[in-house]
Amino acid sequence: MKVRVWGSRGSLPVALSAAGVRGKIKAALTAARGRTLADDNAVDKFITEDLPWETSNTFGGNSSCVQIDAGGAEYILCDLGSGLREFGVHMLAQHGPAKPQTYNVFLSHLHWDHIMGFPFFTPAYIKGNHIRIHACHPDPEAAFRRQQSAPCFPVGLDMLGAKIEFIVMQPGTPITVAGSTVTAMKQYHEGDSFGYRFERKGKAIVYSTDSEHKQENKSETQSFVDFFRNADLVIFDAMYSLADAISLKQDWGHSSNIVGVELCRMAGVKHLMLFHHEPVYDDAMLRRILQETIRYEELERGGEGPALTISSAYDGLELDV
Amino acid sequence: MNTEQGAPGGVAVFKASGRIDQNTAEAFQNALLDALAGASQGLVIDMAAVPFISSAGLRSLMVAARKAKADKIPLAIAALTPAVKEVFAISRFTAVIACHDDLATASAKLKG
Ligand SMILES: [Zn+2]
Ligand SMILES: [Zn+2]
Repeated sequence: MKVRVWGSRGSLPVALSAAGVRGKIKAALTAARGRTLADDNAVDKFITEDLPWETSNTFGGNSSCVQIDAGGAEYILCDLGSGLREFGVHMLAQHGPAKPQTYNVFLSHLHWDHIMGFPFFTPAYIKGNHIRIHACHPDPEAAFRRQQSAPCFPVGLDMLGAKIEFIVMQPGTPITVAGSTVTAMKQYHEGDSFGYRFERKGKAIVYSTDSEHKQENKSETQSFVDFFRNADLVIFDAMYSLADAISLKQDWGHSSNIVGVELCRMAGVKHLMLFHHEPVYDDAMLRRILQETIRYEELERGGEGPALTISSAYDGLELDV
Repeated sequence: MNTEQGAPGGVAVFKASGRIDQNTAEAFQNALLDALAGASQGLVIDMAAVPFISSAGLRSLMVAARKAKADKIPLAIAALTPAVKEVFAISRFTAVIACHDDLATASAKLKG
């Protein structure tokens, strides 16, 4: 299976500011001081090998949208945040407008940052395309109708050319979609959210965002350990620091990098991907959090057992699972 | 885990020991809340014998910090081991409870 992240930001899309770009250019030029960088190859090599990641890259600022490629002809997407717009552009470039496609969507929940990309998803305007939106909430369609009605948006849901279906899933009851077995699980978040586990040919990917882990009782923790069990990849809501998640921002419905490490280690997960990044954090801060998370895993493991691979999602990240 | 009462009317010291994780956090929390109940003049948590603390242990500390605040009991932490110091920084817990290098500094701060 393959994963491609189109939107990794939580709550609200953000963009790199002019000052942010200038800071990166200045850092790059400073690092290049005294070097000749005689040709393009030398420049590329310098960018890739010598510059810190946060200087040569950016996490991007689109809200939640992750593509899961299970090898089938139909597409699978988790959430329809602002990252969906770029996915749509990519689809048109790849297939053109005339070749119909099927898109299978799995919605964590109906909060704005997870559905806001849909009115800007060009394939939804094209007749012949088929969009199947899976959700565990009782009436997902209402949220989409509200989003695409006056005064929020000029084009109503009924005006879209694609065939749009809403499919209500039951948590704990697996379904087979686009060659992948998909199981949902209820999570703690205002108005409920749901995580999804995708399995195919012995590989498993879990998408678990907007999920607070209060760890108040062992059975709650255990149910997530079971859901994550032996997954090859867990995409995990690590929006807050642990201190914030259990004090000021308690019951705001999000989790931390530390709890992500602990749950994944208990579950024997191979790879943890930090996700739903706090909009106020810049690239340097998100990079620092990644390094700290890697360090926490070392401390927690104490040299025993297999290491957990940890990465931090960024818009455009592709990963083979 | 044990509590040593300082001079009468003085600051009490709670000596934590061992790894504090999901297996031990409950006992740690109970002992800590007991110590807090008997420490009206202030409590210092001595962490010198704690090699590691996980989220479960940090939650226990948060519970104690809330209780201390509600009961107006000064609370501080002293003598973090290097690994626990790192966990405090990574979890941003340094902003939750005052941490001091050693017991004497912590006690002095609470009395002051
Ligand atoms: Zn969200
Ligand atoms: Zn939400």
